[in-house]
Amino acid sequence: MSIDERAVRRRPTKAQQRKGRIRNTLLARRLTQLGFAVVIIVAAVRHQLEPTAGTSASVDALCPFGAMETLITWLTTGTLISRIHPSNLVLGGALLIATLLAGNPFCGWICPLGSVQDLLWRLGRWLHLPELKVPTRLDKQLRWGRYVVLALVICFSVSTAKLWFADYDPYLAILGLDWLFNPGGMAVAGIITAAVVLVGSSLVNRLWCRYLCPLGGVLSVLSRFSFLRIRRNENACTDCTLCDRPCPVGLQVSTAAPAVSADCIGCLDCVATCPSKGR
Amino acid sequence: MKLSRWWAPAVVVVVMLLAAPVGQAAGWWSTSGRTQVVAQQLSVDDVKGWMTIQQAADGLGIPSQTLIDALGPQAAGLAPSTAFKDVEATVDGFELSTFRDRLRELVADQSAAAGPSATPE
Repeated sequence: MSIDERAVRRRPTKAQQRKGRIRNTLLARRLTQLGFAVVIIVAAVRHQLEPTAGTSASVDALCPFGAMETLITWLTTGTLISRIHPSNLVLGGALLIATLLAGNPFCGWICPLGSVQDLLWRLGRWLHLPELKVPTRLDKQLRWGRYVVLALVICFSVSTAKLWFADYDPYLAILGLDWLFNPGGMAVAGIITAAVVLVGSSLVNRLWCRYLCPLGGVLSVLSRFSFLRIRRNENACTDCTLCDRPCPVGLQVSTAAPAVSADCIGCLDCVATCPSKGR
Repeated sequence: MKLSRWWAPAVVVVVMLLAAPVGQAAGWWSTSGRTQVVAQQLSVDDVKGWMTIQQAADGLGIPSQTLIDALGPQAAGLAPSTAFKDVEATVDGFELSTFRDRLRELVADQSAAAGPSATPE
């Protein structure tokens, strides 16, 4: 074998390059998700171990959605609803800027509840649980659920001047770690919501994100105005539809014209999967 | 213009990571509404769910046992170190917002019992 032949043999094929791209993207995303999840879990453990000291942040205080929950009260009275702190406003403002700049990778790369759902989805496949396919028409209608939840949360947060959603919030129920340190203190509604999310997301990928997450609803609207969005290159696209398969939120990327739906969570799985660099 | 696929997540991750340090540097960052309770310097509206009965009693200048009695018979076994947010689990229907009205009465009673104070002319 000549030196040239060996060099050609060592050069990865297009399929190998694509596989490498998929692997690298997934690895980067999983490590980022893990990093942020660890931060939230450490905060939750510290808060549970020293609940009255006031030195450690609760998981409520580290959620940017708190800014949405208190926004109307803050703008009209200058005060925050109970259990919401300036940190929520800072994180909410940062997320607003980030989303307007770069779309919605927050849900795909940062949100710890999204990471939990990704983990459960993988677990479901490993356990050979059935994958529930929501019919396209029903899927489109169910996605409005996020805005219904958002309207309810804002309405009740303003009228009660407290963190009304806390009793129903799966983020708080799962990542607040009350189930580990103080099970008796958990709200029944929160346990039910968490159970629905945990079981449901092992059957439907990112169930909460697709149909119920109020923050996802806000980010979906904001993403429409963002500078960076994944766009399908119609000239390069071969309509192979490979990009549709890995999408965690079930978007039909192959029919994007040209920008991908604002419901995109920016995970980049479709981009990495594309064999012809069509996006 | 076609950008690297890494730009969008990188921008979002960097902005979110910078939020806390920038917020701290600007003095906006606070993850708790808890403040130091100074004896007899607390107003009824400043009583929060995280405060213990003892802290509220000290801040309002009322004996802690008086506060426990005001919470009703179900609260008889509560320790002064119990936070108001945990009282809900013991006393049916307890809400701090409505209990503040009772606190106002107690503070008024306490002031009256301390005797009329001289008023400047």
